[in-house]
Order: sequence, then C-alpha cells, then structure tokens
Amino acid sequence: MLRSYVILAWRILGRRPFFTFVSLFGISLTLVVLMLATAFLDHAFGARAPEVNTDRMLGVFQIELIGEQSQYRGEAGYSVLAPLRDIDLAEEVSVGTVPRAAVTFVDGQKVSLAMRWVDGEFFRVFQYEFLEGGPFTDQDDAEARPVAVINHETRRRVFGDEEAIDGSIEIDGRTFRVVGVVENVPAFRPASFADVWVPISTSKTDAYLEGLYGSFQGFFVAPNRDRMPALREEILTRLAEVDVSTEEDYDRLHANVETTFDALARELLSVPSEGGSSPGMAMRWLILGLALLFMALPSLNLINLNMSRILERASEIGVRKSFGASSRTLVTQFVIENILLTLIGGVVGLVLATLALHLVSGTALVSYAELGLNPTIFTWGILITLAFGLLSGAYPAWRMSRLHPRQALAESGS
Amino acid sequence: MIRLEHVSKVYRTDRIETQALDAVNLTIADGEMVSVMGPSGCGKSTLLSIMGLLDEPSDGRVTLDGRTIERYDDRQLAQLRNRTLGFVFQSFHLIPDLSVLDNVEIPLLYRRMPARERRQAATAALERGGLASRLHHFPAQLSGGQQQRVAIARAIVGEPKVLLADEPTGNLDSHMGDEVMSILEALNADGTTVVMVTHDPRMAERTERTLRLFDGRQVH
Repeated sequence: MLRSYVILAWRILGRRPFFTFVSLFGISLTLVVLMLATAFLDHAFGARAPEVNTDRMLGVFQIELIGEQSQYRGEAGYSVLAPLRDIDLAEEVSVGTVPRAAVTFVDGQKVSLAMRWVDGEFFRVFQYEFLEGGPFTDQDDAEARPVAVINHETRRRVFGDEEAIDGSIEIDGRTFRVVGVVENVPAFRPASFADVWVPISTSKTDAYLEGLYGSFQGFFVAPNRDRMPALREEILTRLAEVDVSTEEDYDRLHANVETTFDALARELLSVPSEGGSSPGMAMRWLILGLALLFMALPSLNLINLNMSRILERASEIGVRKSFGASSRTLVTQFVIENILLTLIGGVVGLVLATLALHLVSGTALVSYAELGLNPTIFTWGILITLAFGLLSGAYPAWRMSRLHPRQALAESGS
Repeated sequence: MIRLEHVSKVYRTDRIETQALDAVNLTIADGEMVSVMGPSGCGKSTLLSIMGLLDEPSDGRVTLDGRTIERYDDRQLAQLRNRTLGFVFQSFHLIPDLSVLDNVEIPLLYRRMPARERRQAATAALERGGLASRLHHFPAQLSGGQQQRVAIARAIVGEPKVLLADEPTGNLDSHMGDEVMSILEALNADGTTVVMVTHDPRMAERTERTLRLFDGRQVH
C-alpha cells in the first residue's frame, strides 16, 4: 500500500508543477534558515572543543556590587575569585580575564588581537585542540614567565610559514615566547574565544590583585552533573563571605553562578541578576517558539495549498471511501504524500543549507566560524522536515477524511 | 440480501429541508438484477447511496447481507463496503494519476492483499472486460466506454456480492451503453446482485424488476 501511495504522490507532484515548486520553495527556504540557526546554536553552545565540559561547568561571569547609592555590574576583581580555587567540590577551577584588545605589529602592519590573561588550569577547564606545542602551566603563571598560547589565525598572520613554537611575539610592547598553537575558536564562544592567552602574572602591573571589580571570570568544573547544585551552593556561600567593606560605596555582593548558556541567555534577555527565573530555560523556550513560529508561517501557506489541492481530489476521496478506505487510512495516505513532498524539499533544503553554511563560513561575519553540516545538524534538519510535513499535512488530511463519500462524489460531478 | 425498512432521508440546510426519501420499504434478493427509475430529483441516487452505505438514513433500518447497519463506526462501514459492495458511477470516477491497472487494484489495497495477488486479480478483471491491452494506459487515454469498463473491472475485482451502478450508461452512446449493460447482465448471470439506477427505459427492461420512485416515495 505504501508503494502505491508513493507512486501516486510522485505523479501528483509531477502533475502540478507550479504547486510543487511553490511548496518545495517554501519548505527548502524555511529549512535553510532553520538549519543555519541550528548550525549557529550548535557552534555556539554544543559540547565541542574547547568547551567539552559545558554540561558540568559553572561560571561566575559577572558580579554585582550593591550599595545604597551605587551599583556596579560587571566582571569581578581577581581577589574575589582567586580564593575560590580551593573549593574541593570542583574537579577543576580556573580564573582568567575576558578577552581584551591588544595589538602586535608584523612588518610594520598593525594586527589587532583579542587577548586573555589566564591561569594554567584554564587549559584543563577548556580542552583546546593544540596544533603545535602545548599549554603553559601553573608554574609558568606562578613565576610570571612571558609565554603565550596563540590561535591558528594569529600564527598564520604573525609567523607565516616560519616556526612558531619558541618564536617571539611582541604584544603591547611586551615580548612573549610562543609555547602552543590552538585551533581557532569562534567569537560566539565568549567563555573561550581569544587570539592569544598569556599567564595572569604577566600583567604589566600588580594592580589586578587589588579591588573587587576588574575583568576576571571564574570557571568551575563539577565531577558530574549531579554535583552541580552542591558546587553552585558552595561557590555562592564562599562569595557571600567576601569582605565588601574595602569598597566604601558598596555593602553587598551578589553573583550568579551559572552555565555559559544561562549567562549568555541572561545577557541577551536582560534578565535581572537577582531574578529567580532560569534565563537558560526562557531562552530555550524562546528559541523553540521562534522556530515553531517560523515553521508555522510557511506551514499555514502549505495547509492552504494542500486544502485546495485535496478538494480537487474530491472524486478520488469519494472513490476510495466507496471501495473500503476508512477515514484513518485516507489521513495516512495524504500525510505520507505530504511527508514525501517535504522530504524532497528537505533534501533540496539540505543541499542549499550546506552551500549557505559554506558561504557564511567563508565570510568574516563571525570570527573563526567554521559552520558546516554535521550529524547533529543533519538529524535536526530531517526532524524539522518531518515536523513540517506533519504540521502542514495533518490538518488538510483530517478535513479531507471527514468528507462524506456521497458528498465527495457529488461535488466532483457524479 | 438488501432490505430497507421504512427508510427516510431528509437533507437539511439552514433554511431548507428536503425530503429525499420517504418511508421506503424494499427487499432485493441475492442474485436479483433490479433497476431503479424515476424523474430527476426523485431520490434514486440517494436510495443507491443508502444501500451502498455511503449515506445514513434519517430514519428506518437498512439490512445488508444479514447485518443491520446500526452503530457501525467508520472503520466497520469501510470494511463492509470493501467486502460486500462494488460501485459503478455515471462519470466513472477513475483516478487520473493512476494507470488502469492501479485504478482497478484500489479495492484490493484495502484488503492488504500482497502486491502480486493484487496485480493478478486486477489483470483478470480487466481481461474480462476486454481491456488486456490497456493495463498501463491512463484513464485520459481511453474512450468513455473503455473507462466505464475499467470502472466495472474495479467494481468487481473484489468479487462483491452486490454491484450498485448509478446510471452506468448515462454518459455513453447507445452502442457502448449496450456493451456495458451486457457486462452487467453477465455478472448477474454469474450470481452478482445488481442494482442499477437508470433513466433509460430500454436498459430498465433488461432487468428482472424495476423500482419506481416519485418525490422520494416508492410507486407501484
């Protein structure tokens, strides 16, 4: 029976080339946009190097200092986060700055860089793919050795075809020895993105050691997901013990201890720092809602097209019912036809999405974005296509199956 | 056997109520060949639809093959139509996107018969109607008479006990009409009960019995 449905669906698609074109265009265009969005989300939030621990990692990305007259919201000072390194519940703890603008010169040409000052544990929290050499260590940080890890793009721009390991790179007037080269990390991975990483202790001055605010973030890896709530509680307890009396304008410190996804969601959705709601969950619902809305519009259009197409087939509906098709059988037939149509649209969409991803990766739209089809995106593409087929096929099929056989035959001119 | 007891049918819209059938009582025995005649709008097609379980009576009782059709759900009605009844329509109602063979296979699809057996049965039904050379043609490639013969092949491929034909010769010239009528007679001779709605007294004369309707009522 399935073979018969597929053959019939194929012939009907060929019989109505304009309808088929409009349907396929809508489906494939929608799929291209959704797959681009999926690729971006996967690239930004998926568990991939260097952020392989995201599902069990918590961070203190920003703090709030609250006083009667003043309020500060931003990254923490080193002195707030450094004492948290001895938290036993965490498998790894790292402290580092957010990326800051820096410059180097190559053959007299200025090269802008994003630079992070991090401790040695940073490279255990974030599992960078080392193409050459390796990370610097806690010992390098403790002894303020001027060493640097650079990304592949910086290696290419600064060293070209020459050897990079043990080579020198002068940044903001200070010379560092390159100990490692890592794969580029896209800019929409705010926790791990940078061009250059150097030890915290190589800062020009010791001023970073003082004060409650600065440009530092803390990263904490739990042994497993189940331990994350306890770890969060422990970090919050320790943060509550921070002495804020050193800053006379403030009398209280508040911080959110959350995943990278929650932190980004909080920023994007402007969720108040002390709100009880989960910004990550809100973000997931928002993404799902937008995806459904985006799918709903062409689906409604397809429903309309399908309704008129099905009404043209009233005779067939009448005949099939007369000869023994139940309403359920007819719904199945029409949904299969629609899924076949959407699958063809899906294949076209997948091809177009691959081209679009390749094009986006080739532009400098997002630094170091290497978007491409992978099994996750492909699976999502197929699931989206099937959902699309069901969404746009089920209602017309149900309406059609309710047609009374006598009425269906009469409408088609018995 | 088909039995209608006190069957009425009323069609209602917001403003109008139309009495299509009014207290019809009739019995059609197994193996009979019966024609139904009457002026346009007298309820002939409605009567055929009710006999064929394509429509429900507003009142009265329908018995088909010993079963009283009350409280049958959609699936049970579909199954009963598939096993017991065959339909021939005035405008053939062949599916234009399917080949002749695929059209004839339709009733067997709903019996979940294996593909090979379906092909064999459909081919045999078409051969019986003299269409062996047209198996892979599409309906649009056939004459009206040939299309009606395909429709008859589709109606009999499942070997139904009852064949219901709604003006089967209405869209055909007299030669083709005679041809189709001969096929129906042959089927009846083989034991199939045939109920045929017609406007043509010449065709009605060829049946064993004629039921006459006027304004939804049976007249004698």
